[in-house]
Amino acid sequence: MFIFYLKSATHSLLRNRVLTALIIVAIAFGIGASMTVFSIFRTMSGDPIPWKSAQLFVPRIDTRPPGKHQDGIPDLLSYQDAMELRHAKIVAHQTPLYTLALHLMPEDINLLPQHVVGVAVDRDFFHLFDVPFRYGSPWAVENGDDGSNVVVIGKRLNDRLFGGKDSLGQSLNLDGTKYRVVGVIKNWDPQPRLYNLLNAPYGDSEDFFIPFSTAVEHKIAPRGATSCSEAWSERLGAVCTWILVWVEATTPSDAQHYRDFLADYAMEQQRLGRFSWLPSASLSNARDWLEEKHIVPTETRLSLILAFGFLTVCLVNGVVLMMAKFLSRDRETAIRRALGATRTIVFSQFLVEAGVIGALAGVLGLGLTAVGLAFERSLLPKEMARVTALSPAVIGMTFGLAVFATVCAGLYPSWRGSIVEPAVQSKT
Amino acid sequence: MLTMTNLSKVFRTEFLETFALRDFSVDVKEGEFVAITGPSGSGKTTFLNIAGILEEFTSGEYKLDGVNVRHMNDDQRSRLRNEKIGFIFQAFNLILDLSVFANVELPLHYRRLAAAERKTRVTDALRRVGLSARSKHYPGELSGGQQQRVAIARALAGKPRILLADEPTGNLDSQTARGVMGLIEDLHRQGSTIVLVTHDPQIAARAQRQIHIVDGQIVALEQLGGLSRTAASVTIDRDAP
Repeated sequence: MFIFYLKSATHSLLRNRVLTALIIVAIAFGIGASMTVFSIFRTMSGDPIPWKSAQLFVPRIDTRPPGKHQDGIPDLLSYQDAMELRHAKIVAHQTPLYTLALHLMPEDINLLPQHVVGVAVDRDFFHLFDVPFRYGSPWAVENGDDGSNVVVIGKRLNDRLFGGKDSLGQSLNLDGTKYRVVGVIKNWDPQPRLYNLLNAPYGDSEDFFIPFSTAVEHKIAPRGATSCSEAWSERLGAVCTWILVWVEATTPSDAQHYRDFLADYAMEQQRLGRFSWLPSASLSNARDWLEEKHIVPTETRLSLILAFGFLTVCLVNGVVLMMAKFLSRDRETAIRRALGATRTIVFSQFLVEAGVIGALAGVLGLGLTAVGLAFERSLLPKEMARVTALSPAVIGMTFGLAVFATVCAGLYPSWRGSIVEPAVQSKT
Repeated sequence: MLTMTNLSKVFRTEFLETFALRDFSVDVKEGEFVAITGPSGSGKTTFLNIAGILEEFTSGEYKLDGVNVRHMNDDQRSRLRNEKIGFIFQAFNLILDLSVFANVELPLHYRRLAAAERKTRVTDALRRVGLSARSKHYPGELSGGQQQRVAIARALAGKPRILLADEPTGNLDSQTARGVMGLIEDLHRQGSTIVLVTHDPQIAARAQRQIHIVDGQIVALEQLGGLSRTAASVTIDRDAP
């Protein structure tokens, strides 16, 4: 029977092509506008690691004197505090992190060095954020304490330097120091880059990952603004903050235990005379931290509301046009009813027709969404271009929304079209 | 086959009550060919619509093939109509953007017959009306007589218990009308029960029995002027099928 409904719908749509086209275009524009904004919103607000983000936390300690807390607790820790937390081993997995930029020196001296961006982390980083590996694994030494010159590289860098092949054992010259490749990760581009929100939350993932201890040993300065001066000795002190720390607490009781530890640590620092006041300490869950960082601008949220409002207007237009379309076939409907079609059959037929209209509007709407995202891409900074990508999930959602919304919009017109009495129209 | 007992159809407004049919009783037996005649507004089409379960009635009883239709819901009426009744309308009432085959097949879809069964019935019905070669044509490509034949095939494909025809030759020229009436008479000879509404006395004369309606009631034949009768309907001496 569904095939029969589809054939009937096709006949009906082709019978009045102009009206059919009007309905499709009206709905497609609403779909295109709303899904363009939604696609961007989804990327910006999405939790890139939803299966695990509830277990990931950022410990923060505000060492500023009272009266300097207007802008909330700073996200970065000093080297002293980060190492104290690292060595306390309150949780099973944790990592310090900071971003760095180096020059990749090619083997061929006639070629120019390439600017590459990476992060300095402990090996636990790859466990914390479920980083997938194509070749090899994280460096073998626990926390990289021996300062080994090893490196894990990203897929893009591996493709560029080694043609995508297994490059384990190869060496990279970064700022004059040779690092041995021990791992190559797969295509990994979480959006936003939760682990490094403070440094360009959207964009490509880093080119390389080296042990935190190795980076400190080589005195590699962090990339981006910090509260530190250029002197490396100051960075190793207790005042300037430049390190982000991530910990994993798998249960609420583990998280509470860590909070208690932070509070105790703050009190201990005061007792040891480092501060004359009690420093604030907090443990922020990854999701709360995303929210706090306002990754999604207010303008984007407002645009989303307006875009779906526009879709509603387009669907109302669709309702009116479908009413005109279905009710203009009163005579045919009466004939079908006279021949034995129940109201349910007629209703179902009209609803399938609405579904077909929705499917066609979905295809056109998808095209308009792609155009909209391309337009947005031309307006946004290059590092934000990633948020305008049309993901397979959004493609599916666009099509599904078009069909669902049009079928819902078609409910009333279908019902009105089905309540035609067979006798009135059949009289001659 | 078709039995109405004291059936009335009343249209009520705030100020007026109009009887389209008043205490109407009729009994059409299986295999009969009955003509319903009467002036415009007499209630012929209302009778046909009620007989075809296209309209509800106000009071009385109506049994179609032994089934009492009075308290049926809309879905039940639709299914009974689909299974028991074949319609032949004055204006043909074909769906213009369906082919001849698809038009004849339409009521069979609503009965959810298998594709093979539908094809067999449609082919047989088109053969009976002599339009096998036109199955892929569209109604707009056919003459009036051919369109009416398609309508008859559509009515036959469902193997109805009764055929209801409302002025089947009203939109046709005389020659074509004779052809269509010949086909209807053939169907009667083959055993079909036919109730036909017509203005045309020549058409009516070809039926086995005539029922004349005036102001919603069956009237005595003497009122028609000149023909003897004693009953509320006239039985014409014709060979039974």
